[in-house]
Amino acid sequence: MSALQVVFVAALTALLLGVVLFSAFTVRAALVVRPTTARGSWLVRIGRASNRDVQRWAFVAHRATGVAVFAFLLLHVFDVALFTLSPARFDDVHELYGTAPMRVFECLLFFAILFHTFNGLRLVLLDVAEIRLSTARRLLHVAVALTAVAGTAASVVILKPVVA
Amino acid sequence: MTALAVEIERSDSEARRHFTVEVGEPTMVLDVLLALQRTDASLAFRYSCRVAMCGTCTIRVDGRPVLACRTPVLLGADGLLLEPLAGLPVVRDLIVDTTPFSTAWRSVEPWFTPRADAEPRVLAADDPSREAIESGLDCISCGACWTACDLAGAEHRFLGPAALNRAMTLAADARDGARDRRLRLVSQEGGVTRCHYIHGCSGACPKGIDPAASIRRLRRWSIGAGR
Amino acid sequence: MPGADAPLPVLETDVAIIGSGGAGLMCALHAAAADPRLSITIVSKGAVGRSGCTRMVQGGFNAVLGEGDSLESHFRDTLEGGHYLNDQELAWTLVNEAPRVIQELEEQFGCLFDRTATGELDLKPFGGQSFDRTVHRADQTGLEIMSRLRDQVFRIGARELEDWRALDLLFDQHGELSGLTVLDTRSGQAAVMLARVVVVATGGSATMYRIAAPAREKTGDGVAMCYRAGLELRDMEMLQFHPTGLVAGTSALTGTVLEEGLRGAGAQLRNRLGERYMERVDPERLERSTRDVVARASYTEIVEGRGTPAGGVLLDISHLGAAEVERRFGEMAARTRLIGADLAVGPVEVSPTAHFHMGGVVIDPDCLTSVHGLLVAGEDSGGTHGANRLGGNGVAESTVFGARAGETAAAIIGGRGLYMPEPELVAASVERAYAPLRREGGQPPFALTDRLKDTMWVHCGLVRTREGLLQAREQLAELAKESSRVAVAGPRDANPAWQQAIDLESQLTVARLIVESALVREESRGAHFRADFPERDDESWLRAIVVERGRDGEPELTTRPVELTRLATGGRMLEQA
Ligand SMILES: Cc1cc2nc3c(=O)[nH]c(=O)nc-3n(C[C@H](O)[C@H](O)[C@H](O)COP(=O)(O)OP(=O)(O)OC[C@H]3O[C@@H](n4cnc5c(N)ncnc54)[C@H](O)[C@@H]3O)c2cc1C
Ligand code: FES
Repeated sequence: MSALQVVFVAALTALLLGVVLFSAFTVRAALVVRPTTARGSWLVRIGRASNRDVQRWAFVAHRATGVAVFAFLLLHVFDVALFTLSPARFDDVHELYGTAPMRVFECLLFFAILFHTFNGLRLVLLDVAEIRLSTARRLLHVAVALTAVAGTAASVVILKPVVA
Repeated sequence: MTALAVEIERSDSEARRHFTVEVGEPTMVLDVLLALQRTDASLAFRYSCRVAMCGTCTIRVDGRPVLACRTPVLLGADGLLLEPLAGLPVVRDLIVDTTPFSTAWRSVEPWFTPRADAEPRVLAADDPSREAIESGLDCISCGACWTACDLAGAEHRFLGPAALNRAMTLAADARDGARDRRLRLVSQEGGVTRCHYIHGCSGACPKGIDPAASIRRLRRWSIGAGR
Repeated sequence: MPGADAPLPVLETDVAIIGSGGAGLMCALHAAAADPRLSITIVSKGAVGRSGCTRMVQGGFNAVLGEGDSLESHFRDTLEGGHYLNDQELAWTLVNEAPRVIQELEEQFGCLFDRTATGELDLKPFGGQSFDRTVHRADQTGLEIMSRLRDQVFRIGARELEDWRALDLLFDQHGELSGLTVLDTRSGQAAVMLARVVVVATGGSATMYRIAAPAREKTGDGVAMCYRAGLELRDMEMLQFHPTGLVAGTSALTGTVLEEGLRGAGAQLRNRLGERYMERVDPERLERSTRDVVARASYTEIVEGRGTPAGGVLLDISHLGAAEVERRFGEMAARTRLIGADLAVGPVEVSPTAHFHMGGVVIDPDCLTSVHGLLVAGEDSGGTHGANRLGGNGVAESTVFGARAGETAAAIIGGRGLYMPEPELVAASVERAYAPLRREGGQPPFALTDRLKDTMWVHCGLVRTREGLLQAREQLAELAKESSRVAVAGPRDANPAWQQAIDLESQLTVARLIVESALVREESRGAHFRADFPERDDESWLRAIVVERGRDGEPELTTRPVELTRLATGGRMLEQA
């Protein structure tokens, strides 16, 4: 690995760590500072969350994916900007994007983008139109389903070269 | 009858926290409290009506804000954790001081103001205004939404779901004469723009009201009219 | 123990209103409207506007508003329902002003009542009425009324003492009313409140029965307070049982009311054998008969062994279809599902439940009592409903008379100053309240409260006999003795057990007056049924039983003929204004 690649991987790792920490904090806030089920381990509590809480969890997920996408975007601005310094360095870093671990990361990123987009559109819809609670929940299911379908399809495309 | 382990968050750190009660079918959380009071007479909790009307028995059961009188105890559950509402100062044990909640409620000027200009109007069964009002009407001021909201009561000066829901029912009411003023009130700092779409309120309301939707609606109206 | 020896805080106000139910809040609003400069204080044992029974009214509010209905017809129904024991002037005031109050609630306070597609008020049928005249908002009528009244009280900015209970009325050395002692139940601190006018609206008492409907606060404090202060009480034996209280084992849901509107809408009552027993008891009106008749019929089925194993009868409205039941009686259907039944799809077990006290303080139509400056309104007063209250007349009473009390308060306040209470009265009152905290070695009140409720249920309930009542008298005396040994360990702040100890005293006082009055009335009328005198006897008993505290501190009972000022017992309207 070149020095630049090491820097990139280190930066990405740091960002990911940041995102994970932030998400953990948001989830904890949702669980402890305010309600949902307070007994048992985190996982148990998340597992017990009922349909009543889905929108709260959508909020948590929306925040986490938002921060993740934003953080990656920052890094990405820098690695793309490398081109203006030297196309060779740009190529050097961008080789990484073709590696298997990065492809997995890209799949996850794509899921995040999709969820943030679809749920964001759902929230816009809630804002501009008269939508009942049950419909709002159903729309969330739709957003999640769309994310799953589109994300899986894209993942197939992204992962195909390394799997094959 | 089955034995049930109950843990209660007490104000006095010396006071007993862990209990076991024998419960039969049907048992509400309120019944558990009434039974425990006989074991420990110093236990403080509040209730009045027993039928989900007064909204004074609200506590957190396993973290979730609910009406004690309207929450059945599931036999075979591995125990209950009872805590006072979050986001409000605790008076003692499970009793909280609801002043912040009612101050917020008061600040949307929740009283109906008859229109000065027109003959009193009636809203027939199919009046569109009625449906909008009724969607938010049965609020019992229990404060579950306040606790379930990450912003209300947490230093954000957010009026909270219940007060804004009340403002919505008034703004929706064709008979009310203070619509513009109220829409201005709720578009100030701490009003409708503070809501973060968390929907904790709508998930918690024991009356099935969707305060988040009321806030969205109120926000739409206040863009059109208030400022 | 602080509170008694240290000087008590003193609060001052023009109008002190005890209770924040329909009567209390209407009083505050009308007093403020009559004179905005008045300082008004609301003392409320529970949450302001969220305690008491007005909020729990599901069924609705009787008022003459429909085309073809008349005040005379409502009045006649009220007296027929009350078996002519009513104070006719009070009943007339109720009937006459109810429509105006509905109008005010809607147009001034913004209540949203159900209306038809053409915009008329949707009036629903209720038991014992010759015309559909019950205004409602689905099955949440009281919630709507109280929420809107409470919002208006924010507007007038009255001083609200939430979770404060009134203890005793206070007088100066010449017997002038000077205010009351109050107790902040959150801090446990007692105080003296000086007031020019005091309005008692604590919502009466029907909680001293094993199966009972009212809210926790309603322990007869107001009535007991007035009795101790020497006021006359009437019709204390008249305690209404609602026919359809939920049966839910040991849960506190037992006794909560499934509303009258169910029977109005055609709900049927059957015993365990499937027999529709109202066909036997009142073939004409069936389940829509008055509450006293239906409640006693159910009770008889249960005690004669035709009830369900859990001690109830079956109420069934599922023939309306689940969707319709859900729409009209949603809250109640949800409640029954909690206990494993479902009103929307099948029968539910019910039992008569203690519900409403017709008896109370003697007042006139302006809510004035024999004590200058003291007004009583709502369920604490007696006479309006006679021997049995019609469903839908209760919330009408509390709002109509609450409003009148507010106006009267504003009208008489000019003639009243602030008077210094006699220190001994203050000391005795506060001492009584703190006593359970100070005692050592005694038990908390719970077991005694249970025994009181059992005694009243068994011996002074739906069917009474001389022997039973004598037993009740004895048991109450014993309970009174034991209650003077009740002890609560503390702390004094926010301590419900201590509050219950104070409640018990009021409940015992009122229970005793019910038993004594029931012993005197040797006939059966309305809610009062004597198995040893099963007939109504207009000849000798068209009389109200009046009780007051005698010199020796014991109840003194007299009877007073009912004045038929407007309607004779046969149903003939008398020449009147
Ligand atoms: C379950 C139920 C259903 C009912 N349904 C109907 C119906 O459908 N139609 C109808 O017409 N009537 C109905 N009623 C009857 C009706 O509710 C009462 O007649 C009426 O509401 C009484 O009003 P109030 O203002 O006198 O007292 P309440 O509304 O009961 O208020 C009493 C107030 O006094 C306060 N208080 C008590 N003690 C003290 C104290 N020591 N110090 C300070 N404050 C005190 C309480 O906190 C409360 O605020 C129903 C009653 C019940 C219980
Ligand atoms: S006791 Fe009134 S809502 Fe629970």
